[in-house]
Amino acid sequence: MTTPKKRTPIRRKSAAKKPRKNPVKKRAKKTTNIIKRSLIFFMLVGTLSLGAYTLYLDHIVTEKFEGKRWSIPSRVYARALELYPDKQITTQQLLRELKLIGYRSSFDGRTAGTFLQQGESVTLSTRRFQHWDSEEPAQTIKLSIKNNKIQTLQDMLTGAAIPLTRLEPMQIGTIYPTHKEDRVLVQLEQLPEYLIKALMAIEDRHFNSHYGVDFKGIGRALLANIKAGGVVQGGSTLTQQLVKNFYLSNERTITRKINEAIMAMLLEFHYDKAEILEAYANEIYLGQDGARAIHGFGLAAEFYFNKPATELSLPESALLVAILRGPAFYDPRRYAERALKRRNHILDTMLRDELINQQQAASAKASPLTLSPKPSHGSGRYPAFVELVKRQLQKDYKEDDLRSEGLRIFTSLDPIAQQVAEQSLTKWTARLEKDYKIKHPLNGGIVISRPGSGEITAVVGDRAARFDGFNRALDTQRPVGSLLKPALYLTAIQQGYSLASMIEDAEVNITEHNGQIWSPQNYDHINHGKVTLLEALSHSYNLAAVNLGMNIGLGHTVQTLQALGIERPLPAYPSLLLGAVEMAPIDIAQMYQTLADEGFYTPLRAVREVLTQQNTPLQRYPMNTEQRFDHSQIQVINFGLEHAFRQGTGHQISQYAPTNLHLGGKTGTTDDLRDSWFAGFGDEHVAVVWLGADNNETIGLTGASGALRVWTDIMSQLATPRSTTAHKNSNIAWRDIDLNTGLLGGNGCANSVSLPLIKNTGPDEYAPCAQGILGGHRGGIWTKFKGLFQ
Amino acid sequence: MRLILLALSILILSACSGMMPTATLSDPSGPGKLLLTQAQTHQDNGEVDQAIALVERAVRIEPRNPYAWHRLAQLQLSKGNLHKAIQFAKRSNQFSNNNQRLKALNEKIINHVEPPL
Repeated sequence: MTTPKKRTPIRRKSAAKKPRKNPVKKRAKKTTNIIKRSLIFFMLVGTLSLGAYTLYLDHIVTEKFEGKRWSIPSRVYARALELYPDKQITTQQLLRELKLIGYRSSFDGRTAGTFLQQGESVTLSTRRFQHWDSEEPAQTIKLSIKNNKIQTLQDMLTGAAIPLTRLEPMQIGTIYPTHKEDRVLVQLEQLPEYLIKALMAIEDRHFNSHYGVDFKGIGRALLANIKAGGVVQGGSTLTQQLVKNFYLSNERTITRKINEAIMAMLLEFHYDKAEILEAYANEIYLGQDGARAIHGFGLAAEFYFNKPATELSLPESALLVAILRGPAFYDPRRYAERALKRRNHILDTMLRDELINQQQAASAKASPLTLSPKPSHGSGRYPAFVELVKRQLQKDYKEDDLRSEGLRIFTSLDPIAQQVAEQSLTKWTARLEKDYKIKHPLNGGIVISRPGSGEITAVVGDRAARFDGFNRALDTQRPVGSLLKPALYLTAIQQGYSLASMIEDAEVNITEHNGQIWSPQNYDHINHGKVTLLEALSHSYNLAAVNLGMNIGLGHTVQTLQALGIERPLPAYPSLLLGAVEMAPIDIAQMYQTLADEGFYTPLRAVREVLTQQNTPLQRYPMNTEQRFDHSQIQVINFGLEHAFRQGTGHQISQYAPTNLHLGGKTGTTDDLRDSWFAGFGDEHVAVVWLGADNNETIGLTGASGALRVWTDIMSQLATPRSTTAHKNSNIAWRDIDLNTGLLGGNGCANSVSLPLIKNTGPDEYAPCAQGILGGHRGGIWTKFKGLFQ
Repeated sequence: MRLILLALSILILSACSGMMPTATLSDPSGPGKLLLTQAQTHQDNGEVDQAIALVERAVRIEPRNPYAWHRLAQLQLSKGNLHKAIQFAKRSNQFSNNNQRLKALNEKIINHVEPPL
């Protein structure tokens, strides 16, 4: 025991004088003093440390809350569907587009994001959307579709005709941060009142009055848990939950709990309730989509219901609040009954707390879960196209910025074209495998683009289109066979040949640079002798191509190929003429794009514009074009390609395409039938299809028997008959040509075709079969008379 | 010296393009016409990129509309992108058929920038 007296300095002094008189007492006194001083010291240090620690936590709390709170993934959008009178579209295509962008069928189509179809008429209410060039306001429109065309388009409120409007574009992909957290930021006022009420009723009833920690709530939870003999109730406030998710780990330790409480109070000290609630609404974890973590009510509304958070109904709001207690346990897609039960519990609690009335509760409880299919527009719908978008953007943006800055990327993907291409590839690969008894799995790649703009509208990289793996449209490298031949014939036309020029389809032996003799063959192993250039092109005669190519010079053909858009270095070997060079479908698409654009090289592109998260325009990828060929020459070649499709190698399959469509293209077949290609175009689409086996084994398909079937199927669904007359070209004259001789034909010629000839090219003599055979090069009277009008 | 001449020619040409009757107001119809008119408003406000975006939208809807291509040529010219202006004017010519007035406007762009030898 110690007494106060012992603490007097006199005592200490006397003790100093007589140190050995009472050593035990003295030691005890000394110890007591040390403890006291230590206590004071430690209290002081403790207080200081706690203060410093609190300051440290305060720094963490404010720094993160005031800085960039989240890494927001970039969002990739498809093209917006344009609507205007005379637009070619079927009711089915329109309804499908509406479904893709999350519109729901309703009784009048007058609520944002809903539609009503009645026969040929569709009423729909659009959502406001900020595009690069302007904002499209929300409006209710009525349109009628007849004969696959929009007949009328009007504003439902004013009755005025609408000359042009567009729907909001479908979100087709997300470029995530590496931690795979995904969210769509929302502001508090964008969340339905029900959602906030339900959230507070269930998670934190005293949110508006506590200071971050609800001690009463903790006490109540403690009692409830003791009573139940386990954890049945949590005492964490929304602020604490936010702190836990936003700043701390998930570990269940006392230190973490203390940090959580201090930080929650600090958060409440610095920020108002609305800010905290908004951060909570964006932070909270609400589900999982593969590797992607669904955070915040904004994204959860899209993920579960395919609609923006503003449009959430009472039962939907209650379901989201139900899910947040345990997104895996209450996953409504896996455990519908469990989620429904909890949702109804939340609705009951809201009724008990008089947040909703009896009728609202009854109606909401009777509502089914109304979930959208998963994922309605998440990451994986168009992986092949999104991959192309990423590659284009990586030239201009850092990977990190793409993943974290919440950029809004607008692309040219046309979901209608994409779906047609995907379905066609899936259908035909399965059918061909069966019909041709192909032993190795058949796969393929497709690229579709638009003449004029050069915009890529569809990319399919696998017969299972959702598979995010090897992208055959962009990355497969296969010999292209006869796909390069149009460049050869174009070079010939440039040098003064015409479609009527006769060339030798005869045996040829060429000594290659390595000393080996190269002796190509025709596919049918027949030498056809003298043939017109038109037939050589349309029937894809190899020997004619090689003979012609050697005459006009390989270097010139290489130059033509490069001007057409083949950018890689090409070896000037004779075998190049028959396509012994490996390329991807997208490379070929660029070449045929230039042909479709009648000699204007238009770089293919998938990205139109990039906006910041705040909708500020950041970057445009404008249209570019450059004339590289005389368009008369290209028109001549394109006629040859049309002929090839209808009368040449495409003859049999082209019968499945409506005859009023202007389509043309070229088959490509490689040695031992390992690759099947078709590349071609109509007025509105350029499309390239490749089929083959990944192990490069033979598939037994030519370009015509394989890829052309897919191509024709796609074009038959997408192409529309030309509505405007083709533009005239004063440099081209149409003449009847006898294909047997390449001379001017006439009534008596059985094998006569009207061909476009560039002025001052082609024959000026008549074939013997032409009427007035005795007239020799002049032709008969009727033929001469016709000639006046040609 | 060549640079000065080039700069002068751009200036003159830009002025000419401003004086040229805008081929957008009367001839095309439908969505193309609407977009070209909106583009004109943006251009008048000095928002050339917005104007280009709208004309490109018109080209996407009507890829064979020679007026839209011509407007792209004009807009590129106003930005001083001579090469692009010529190319778009050539593209416009391709779809102009017998529209001599439009062809003449295109030729004016092509020849001013790239005088015939």
